[in-house]
Formats: sequence, structure tokens, C-alpha cells
Amino acid sequence: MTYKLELTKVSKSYGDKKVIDDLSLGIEPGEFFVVLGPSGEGKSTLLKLIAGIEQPDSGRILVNGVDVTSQPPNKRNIAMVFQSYALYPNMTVRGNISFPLRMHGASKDTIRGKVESVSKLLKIDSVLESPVSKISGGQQQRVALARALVRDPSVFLLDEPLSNLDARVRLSARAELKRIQRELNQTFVYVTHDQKEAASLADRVGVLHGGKFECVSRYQDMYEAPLTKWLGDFLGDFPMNFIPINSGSGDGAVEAGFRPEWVKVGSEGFHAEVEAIESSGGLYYLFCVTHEGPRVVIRDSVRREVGEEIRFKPVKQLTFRNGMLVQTPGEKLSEPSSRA
Amino acid sequence: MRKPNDLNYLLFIFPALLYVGYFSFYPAARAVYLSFQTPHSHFVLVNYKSLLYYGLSSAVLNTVALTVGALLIQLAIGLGAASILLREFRGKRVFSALVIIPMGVATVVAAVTFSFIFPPPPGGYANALLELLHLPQFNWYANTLASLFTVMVADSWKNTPIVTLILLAGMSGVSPDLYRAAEIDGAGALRRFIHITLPNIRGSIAVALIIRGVSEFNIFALPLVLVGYRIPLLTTLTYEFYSSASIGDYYYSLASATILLAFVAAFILVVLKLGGGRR
Amino acid sequence: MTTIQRVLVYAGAAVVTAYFLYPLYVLLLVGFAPVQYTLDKIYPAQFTMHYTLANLVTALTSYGFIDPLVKSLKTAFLVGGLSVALGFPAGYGLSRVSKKVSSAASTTLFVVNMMPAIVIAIPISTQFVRLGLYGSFVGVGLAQELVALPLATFIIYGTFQAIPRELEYQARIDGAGVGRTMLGVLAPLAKPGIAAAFLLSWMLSWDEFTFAILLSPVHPTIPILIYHNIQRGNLLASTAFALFLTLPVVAITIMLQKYLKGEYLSGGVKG
Ligand SMILES: Nc1ncnc2c1ncn2[C@@H]1O[C@H](COP(=O)(O)OP(=O)(O)O)[C@@H](O)[C@H]1O
Ligand SMILES: [Mg+2]
Repeated sequence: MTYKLELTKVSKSYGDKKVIDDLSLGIEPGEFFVVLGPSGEGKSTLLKLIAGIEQPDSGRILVNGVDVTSQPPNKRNIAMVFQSYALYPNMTVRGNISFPLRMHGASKDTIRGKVESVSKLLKIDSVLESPVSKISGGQQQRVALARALVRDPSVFLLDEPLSNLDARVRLSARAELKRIQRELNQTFVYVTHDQKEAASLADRVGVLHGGKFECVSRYQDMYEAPLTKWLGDFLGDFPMNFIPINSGSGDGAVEAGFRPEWVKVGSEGFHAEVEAIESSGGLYYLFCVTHEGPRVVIRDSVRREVGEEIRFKPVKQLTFRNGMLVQTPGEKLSEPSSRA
Repeated sequence: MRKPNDLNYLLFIFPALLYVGYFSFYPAARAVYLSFQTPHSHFVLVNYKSLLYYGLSSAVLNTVALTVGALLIQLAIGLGAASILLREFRGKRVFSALVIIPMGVATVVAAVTFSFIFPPPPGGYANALLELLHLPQFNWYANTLASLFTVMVADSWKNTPIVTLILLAGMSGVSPDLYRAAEIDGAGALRRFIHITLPNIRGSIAVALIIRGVSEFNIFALPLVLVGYRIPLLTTLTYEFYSSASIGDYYYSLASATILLAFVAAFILVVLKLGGGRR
Repeated sequence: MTTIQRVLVYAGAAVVTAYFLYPLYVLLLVGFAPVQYTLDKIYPAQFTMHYTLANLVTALTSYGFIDPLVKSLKTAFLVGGLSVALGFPAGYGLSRVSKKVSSAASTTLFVVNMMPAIVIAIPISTQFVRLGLYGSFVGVGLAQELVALPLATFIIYGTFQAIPRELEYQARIDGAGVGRTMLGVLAPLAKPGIAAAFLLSWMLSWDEFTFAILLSPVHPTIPILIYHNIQRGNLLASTAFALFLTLPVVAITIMLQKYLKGEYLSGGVKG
């Protein structure tokens, strides 16, 4: 089958700095794909390459199976929403939303009809004639989205579109975005550094690190069984805990990895001293130093004291050798990443 | 490494660069080249030797004196005006509009006006003011120095606004906290000016001096109207040769223009050195 | 501010105001008062109640004013137009290239701004004679553009720097080609800067003396007409022309106050 969007061995450097490094990716029609990563890892650059604003140094980009690598942005039939919204400041809301249609030579009647229906869908039909500087941040975000939705592009690119909204609006906007994507059955590539957003929106998440995807899979899968130590560290509110294991065999460093919620505090297992405590919704996160040396974070439902000696035992744990997850036979794990 | 993107954007700059290349750099190079020729011979210094005979050294001396004097006047008034503009007071908006008006007045208009204020003796508007105040009269063109000073005053009237704006940009960049801290330490207004303002706007002062310095070397219409060819400057000397009908004089004008260019080039090199350090 | 400081500020402002306004006042006085109260007196009065329009009317009707006016206008509009035609793409390009390239290009323009007009005009004059441009408004305009272009480019450059690049990307993604992005999206946003660049260039040409006198002494622009009349001793006429030359420009200067900033005036130096 053909992917809606496909990248093969794409690389991009700025000067000596390799931002995207031999990256390949295939996105299915109707998929909501989230690119997750810390800031500065090249997420925006990746979208710019797909949109045609930047040219890759090598590699190919295909839309609907057609190579568009050498096409300018206006020939690619791709829509994009920037983090800053990039609304045309000298135009009204209507002027902004209709702009792509005008550029594609749509008739007056078509434009009017499409603008009306998309603005109803996004509940901005009441501000159509306002200048974009006169409407609220939430409305501006909707206008940017409407301007993308009003066309019928092959792929939608969204670069942290919700990050400029305040927390409450952001939650409802997130839900609405998901609903719209489902309703229209469109292909979305969505960039964010926010894991919660990735977890709640994505069909699949790609974690970008060092110019490549560290892992591409469902968020829950990679959270439960991160393919690398780096990934375990990056995902979750708290980094994964690692404790060295004496494996006997001399083939590299072996560590046990477990999440704070995978442990049982009681009378067996590791000895540790509580150094600090953070409480959250009736649960307590204990920052401990183990007698073996490594520091860990563990979750408990009982309030403890700083300085208290406790014992804990992971009820579930993963094994990492040389920073890579050791996959136990029979266990279902995510598909191999491009790095593997 | 230059990105291929840069090349595309360079195309937009190219017409402007081509234009200045053809109309500025090429003629300037030609002026230098031709200054070493006469209608009959090539690569000779005869034009320069004749210039010496026609008063080149006093033209250079006068030009340098005029430049230094005018810069000092403009810097002093500019610092004062900028310090005033930095404060909040009633009528500031009107004052800041007034301060830039001379910038829009043509040099030749300034020349006409100052020829009424400082005409050759006797009389004129400045002397009329002196008379009103029962002060002694003054001959604005009594000697070279007086003449140069008269030109400096007229020139500074037109050009202090630019200096003021550049210095103001520099002063606005100084953090008010520095002044408050100094005030708490008991430094008076004068001390604050010397120890905080001046060191912090060194860059702006340099920029103003350089920009104005080059322009002072090129000063032309004002001295032409106010003192004519009596007190030669590099520009008026050049023009005198240029406007004479003789072909030999045309080559003298090129030689004198080349010397002017050499002074300006030296100034520009200083600029680029300073600018390069700051980038 | 303490009272003493306040007094000092006002006193300083008064002195500076007097220095800046007195010459203009004298110009107006000579222009609008009968000559027996002004230039005919050795010690003219600093103030008079007698005013007349006769000086202006005589000067503007009987000293061949129309041809220089037309020439000045044609030249100024040519220079303004050239500044936009060359400065708009150049300012845009400068705002988009890497820092290294942009500072090299703006340094070049800055050097051009500092080139002595007289040095350039002398060799150009002989070439213009050959090209038939000597004495024409086109020749004068092409030369004056050297003064205007760097400033115009810096102003437009500054304007473009303030326009987020993403707007341009967005327009391209929304389906606009290079031309439509420039003219349909960027130009309207850069309009104030472009207008300022045009007006400033217009004004520089309107006031310009050196190129005008060297390249077109026989068919003068207004500044040269003023100079010729001073030389012939027609002081009242040159005053009238000076007023005529000055008033529109003072109006434009005040209008453009916002753009007459240290940053632009110091051009490439501050990089
Ligand atoms: N136009 C550019 N020129 C040079 N470096 C750039 C450019 N754009 C981005 N970078 C660099 O590339 C890296 C990735 O940037 P970006 O894609 O914006 O990251 P993200 O969106 O993940 O925060 C950053 O280190 C940034 O400094
Ligand atoms: Mg980004």
C-alpha cells in the first residue's frame, strides 16, 4: 500500500549541525501522528522539510506516493499551522481563512461556502469580519486551524499549535482537535514537546532524538517498554529508575529499569533512605537514595518522613544491556525503531 | 558554509549592489586612475605637484580644522539635547519635533539663511542682536579662523539633529538602574553624566563622530555660499577646478578629488575596524 | 527631578530651541516682511508687524521658477521610485540572508553612503556627456540615488526584520508563489517602511546640491536656482525659493520622525 506521507533517508544540517539525520518514516492515511521531543531536537525543522520551506540535504519526501522533494511549498498540497499561528495581520478573519482558496483560484461562491462552513465548525463565524488582532488567543488559534482545514490538503502539519493557549483552553482545544480529525478522517502530523498531548492525541508517536526517531509506536507501549534507557528517562512525569545488576557474564553493563509506580514498599527488597517527598492527588513520590548508591523515585500511597528508612521491591522490571532494552521472548513489544 | 538558500536571496540584493558598483565604485576608481594622467601623458604626478602650487596644503589644513571644530560643536550640543530628550517634561513632544526640523532643511537654504545672519560686515541679524544687547560688533570673516568658525556654526545648525538622534539611541539603552544606584551612592548629576552616561555611550559617540566626520570632509554648499573660494577647502578647491573651462584644470580637479577620497577612505577604514570589533 | 534639575532642563531646552528655530525665523522674516525692514537695513529689526506676499509673488513669477520646479519634481520622484524599486528587494534580501552576508552587503552600502559626491560626479560627468545624460533629470536622479539608496534599503531592511518569517512560509504553504507572496502578503505589511523610504529619498533629492550642480548646472533644480540667485545678488528671490523648498520638506521630516532613528542613520556601522 502507499503511505499518505513518506520520508526516506532524509537529512538536514544547518552549518555543521546535523538536525535531521537519515530519518525515514511512513504515515498512513487518516493517521494522527505525533512527533514528540524536547525542544531544539529538530521537530519544527522536520515539518519545514515536509512543507517544502526547507530543502533536505539528501533523501526523498513522497506525498501519496509522488516524489515532491523538489517541489516548492505552494505545489505540495500540504496545510500547516504554526506555533505562532502566522495569521496575516492586515487581513480580517475571513481574509485569512479564504487566502488559501483564493491562491488556488477557487470561485467566489465556493470560497464563501467553504469559509462559512469551516468557521461554523470551529465556532468563529461570529468574528469573520474582525481584524485578527482584535480577537482572543483561542480564537486566533481556531482561525489558524480553519485556514488549514478550509482546503482539502493531503496532509496537515501542526507545530505545537496549542502551546500558546492557557491551560484550561488548551485542554478543550485538544479534545476538539481530536474530534475534528476523526470526523474529517484527515492525516495529521502534529509536533509537540508535551507528553500528555502526545498520549491523548496520537495514534502513533515518534520520539525525535539526535536527528532520528528513537522509537515509533503507541505512546502507552513505549511508556511501558521503552526501547532505550534514554527513552525511559524521557517519557513519564518522572524518569525511569535504573539499578545495576551483577549479571556475571562480562558482556556489558546490565541494569534493571522500573517506573515509580511499579514498586511495592514493604519489608522486602532494596534498602533506601527517603530524601524528599512530593505529593500529588493522594499519592506520594518518594525521592530515595538506595544503599547500593543509585537514586530512585518510587510511588507510595502512605505518607513517609524525610530520613525514614524504607524497603521496596519492583513488582515489574525491565532489563537493559548497554542502554538498550533486552526483549524477553514472547513479550509483545513495539515495532523496532529506525535506530535499532 | 553558505547555504544554497542564501544564493536565492542574494539575487534580491544584487540589483542594488550592481547599481552602486556601476555608479559609485567604478567612477571613484576612474577618478583615482585619471588623476595620474594629463591629456598628453600617463602615470604622472604633475597634477598633484600643480595642486601644491595652487594651495592644496591650506585646503587640507582648513578641511581638517573645520571637521574637528564642527564635530566638537555638534557633539556638545547633541549631548545636551539628547540628555534633555531623555527626561520627561511638559512640551517634550513639541521639543523632540523641533529638534529634528533642521535635518529637513536643505543645505543651500541653511546657507542662504546664515548669509543673512552672518553677512560680510557691516550688519546682519547676528550683529543686530549684539547691538540690541549693547555688545561689540563682530566681523564674521575677519580671518581664516573666524570664517571657518562661521561655517562651523551654520553647519552644526543643520547637522546637530543627526548627532542628537544617534546619541539619544545610545543613552536610551543605558539601564536606569545604573543611575538609581549611583544616585543612592550620592553621585550628583554631573558625576553621573561623566561616570555612567559617557562610558556607556562610547559606541554611539564613535558612530556619530565617524558619520559626521566623513560628511564634514565633504562639506560643500555652505562654504561655497558663505566664504566662496577665499578660504579653500578640499571640496571647493576641487569644484573651482572642475567648473573652470580648461581641460588641464579638469585633471587637477580629479587629483584634488582623489586626495579627498583618500581622507574619506582612511575614515571609512577606521569605521570598518570599529564596526568589525563590535559585530 | 528636583526643582533645580527641572529648571536646568527647561533652560537647556530653551537654548537649544532658540538655536534651532532662530535661523528659520530669520528666513520667514526676510521672506514675508518688506525688504526695507530686513535686507535693506544694516541692523534689521528682530521683529516687525509689516508683512507682505509681494516678495514671494515676484520671485515665483519673474525668475524662471517653473522649469527648475518641474526638474526638481521629476528628479525627486525618480529618486524615490528608484529607491523603492531597488531598496524593496534589497531590504527583503538582506533580512533573509545569513548574518555574514547581510553585514557584508550593508557595509558596502554604508561605504557608498560615505563616498564623496564630488569625487563620483567628476568622472561621471564626462560619461554622462557621452551618454546624453549630462544636464538631464535622469542623470541627476541616477547620481542622487547613491545618497538615497543606502538609507532607503536600511529602512526597508528594518521593516522586513520586524515581519515574522513564518508569515512568508505560511503564504507559500497556502499556495502563493514567490511573486504573490512578495506583493500580496509582504508588501502590504512593509507599506509604512516603503512609504518612509520613498519619502525620505524624495526629500534627499529635493534638497540635494552637489550632484545637481556638478551634473546639471545649466538646467538647474531649485537648490541650484537658489545658489545662482545668491550669486547674482537676488537675495529676495533666493529666499522665496528657499521657503518654497523648505516647507514641504519640514512637513515630511516631522511626519517621518519615527523613521529618523539612530539605528537607520548610523546604517551599517552598528550592524
Ligand atoms: N534556520 C536555521 N539556521 C540555523 N540553525 C537552525 C535554523 N533553524 C533551526 N536551527 C537549529 O536547529 C535545531 C532544531 O531546531 P527546531 O527544528 O526549531 O527544533 P524544535 O522545533 O524541536 O524545538 C536547533 O538547534 C536550532 O538552533
Ligand atoms: Mg519548534
